[in-house]
Amino acid sequence: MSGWDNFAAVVGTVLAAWVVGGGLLFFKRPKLAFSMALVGAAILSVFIGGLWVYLERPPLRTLGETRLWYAFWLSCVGLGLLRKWHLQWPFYYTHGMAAFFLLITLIHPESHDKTLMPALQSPWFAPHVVVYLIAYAFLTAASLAGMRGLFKQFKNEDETQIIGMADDMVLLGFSFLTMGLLFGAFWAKEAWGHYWTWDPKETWAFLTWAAYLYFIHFRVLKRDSTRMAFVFLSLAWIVLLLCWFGVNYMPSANYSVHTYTK
Amino acid sequence: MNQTKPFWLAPLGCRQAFITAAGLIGVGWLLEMFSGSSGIVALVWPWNACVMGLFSLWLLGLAFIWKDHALIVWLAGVPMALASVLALCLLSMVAGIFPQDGEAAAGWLRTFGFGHVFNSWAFVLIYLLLLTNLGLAVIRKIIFWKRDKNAFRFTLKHGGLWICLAGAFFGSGDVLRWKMILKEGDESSRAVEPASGQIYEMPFSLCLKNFKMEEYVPSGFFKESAAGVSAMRRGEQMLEIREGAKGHWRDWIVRVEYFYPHAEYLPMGFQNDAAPDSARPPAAFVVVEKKGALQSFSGWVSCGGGTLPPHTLPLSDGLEWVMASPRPKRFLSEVQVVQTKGGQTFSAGIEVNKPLSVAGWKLYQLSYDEQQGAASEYSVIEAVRDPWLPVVYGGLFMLLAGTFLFLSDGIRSMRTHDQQNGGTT
Repeated sequence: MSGWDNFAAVVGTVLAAWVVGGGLLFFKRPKLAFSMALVGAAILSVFIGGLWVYLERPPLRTLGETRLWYAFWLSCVGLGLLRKWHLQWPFYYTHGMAAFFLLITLIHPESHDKTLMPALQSPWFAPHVVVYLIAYAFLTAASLAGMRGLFKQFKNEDETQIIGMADDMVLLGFSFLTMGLLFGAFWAKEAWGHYWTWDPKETWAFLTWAAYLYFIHFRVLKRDSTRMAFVFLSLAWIVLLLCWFGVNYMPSANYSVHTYTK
Repeated sequence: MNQTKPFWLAPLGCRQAFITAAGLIGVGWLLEMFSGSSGIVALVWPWNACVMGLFSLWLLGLAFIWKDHALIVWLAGVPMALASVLALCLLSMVAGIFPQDGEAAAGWLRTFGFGHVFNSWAFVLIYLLLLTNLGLAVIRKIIFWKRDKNAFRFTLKHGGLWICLAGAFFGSGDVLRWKMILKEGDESSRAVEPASGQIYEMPFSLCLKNFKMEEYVPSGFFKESAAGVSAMRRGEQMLEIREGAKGHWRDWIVRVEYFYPHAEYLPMGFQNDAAPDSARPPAAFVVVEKKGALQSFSGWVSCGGGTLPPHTLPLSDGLEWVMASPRPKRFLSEVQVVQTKGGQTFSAGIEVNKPLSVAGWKLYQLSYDEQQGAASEYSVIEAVRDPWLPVVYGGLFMLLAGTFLFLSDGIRSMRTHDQQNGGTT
């Protein structure tokens, strides 16, 4: 592997594996589908590993690099739901979303180099960002469940299973989000002197966290308002995306020291 | 039916909670307008500790004396949690969109405190509402303790969050962030408070023995001479300049013949400066050819720095080949520390991500003379003191422990939790 040179070939192979996996699932061969998609995720993980070796730093500095991890974890979430809970539809949704983010990265290549500014040279860097991307993958699965739930309600079909899955995904994602937030606070104390300074990126990270905190408490209070829950999940995903890369485009962005390199 | 009653007569629930939060925001904005739109100044020791103590006693009193009062149950309940979290979100969103430059914010942004949301009256009132809700919820959980894992996890998470939020809030006035400007060779125990410019004497002195800056190898790229901008599009890779490096860009081929990490410009040409601490900028001799063209271009390029002006290599087609300034890899201030009390002396390094702890202060590498780069003759150290940090970290660790506990034993019960009415939260 040499950096990004083989990226197009890797994306092609990974997508082919996922498409074949999707086809196998459609024709009621879940075990084979699982293995096929797993091969795709494994190839992606090898590429990320190769990138880490080639760049001599964790490949988590640029938006494009974080998108690779996001695609990988999304695939893992889809595979986990298929294997553990025998849910088939998330397989298509998560892999579709993962493929979309891989294609964005392919279409919008970035300038990349091996440099890592001193503030990023911290033992907290990799755990903080990786845990965050795991959280994003779970919460994306929850939002996809929200969208499917709304669709099912529209068609007057049963959505009990979907709301159960969405709740679980939010609880898992929120746990990782909390860890990511706290790791970030510990890191900020070592790098910038204070654990929280309400930098625009931190503010949006708080908003994402608070949005899902709201959802969890909303579900405790209004168990039956599934429609509101589905709408909320779909909207919360927008806050998440704003935090991930939307901050770069806001008037406050120039005041942030934490935005990802574009 | 409740719906037909006006909200002040109906049993306390969501509607009243949201109206309370909205009302507090309104009161906050009014207070902001009438107090000159300059926000709130944080309390300092010992007043902040007294107020936090009184606030905690007030919460304990409320929870113990009116255990079953509807108002306390409502204040501690989920509807109030929803209202206060939503209100905090809305205010934070304002701060996430508009730049938070305090005094600089103009017009209506300033009137309502939108330019300094986090020390505006509205934010503080909502924050206190959240602390009241969270605090009462935890105390009530303990009063009506049920021996199960959920109650334990609930207390760890909510109690941890309360301790962390309260510690950060009441302790914020005691956080000191001062700057020490150290000149190479000089000893100083003075620190300046950036906002007021006031000078303080530290309980130790620092002598800057050496400021070191390491850089990554520089990169080179094609530039449009007339426009003065890069000719390369996003995604097209710059060439890392090392001896023997070769790169392609469209029809062009670039070869680096020589690379001097620290170069000086003498009448006979560029020379490498082998001194170990050299702060001179890098330079490289490159050969650039265009496929199919007979002519090739060669010469020295340098990003320049110190007394050396930048050198670029002019090419045909209105292009030139340019060395970009190398990116910083490491900033290090080597200092001698002398503690006033006891007179202990020791040498240490302060660098980004590796602060130094001395006499209750943490010292951070903050800045240097950016014009001079590695040749900077001074270094700026930030001295930070936060006596409330153990409180905040105590809360954070409780929250983290609650989260780990959930991940380790909550997942197993996940598929059944919807019958338990949200027990896993």
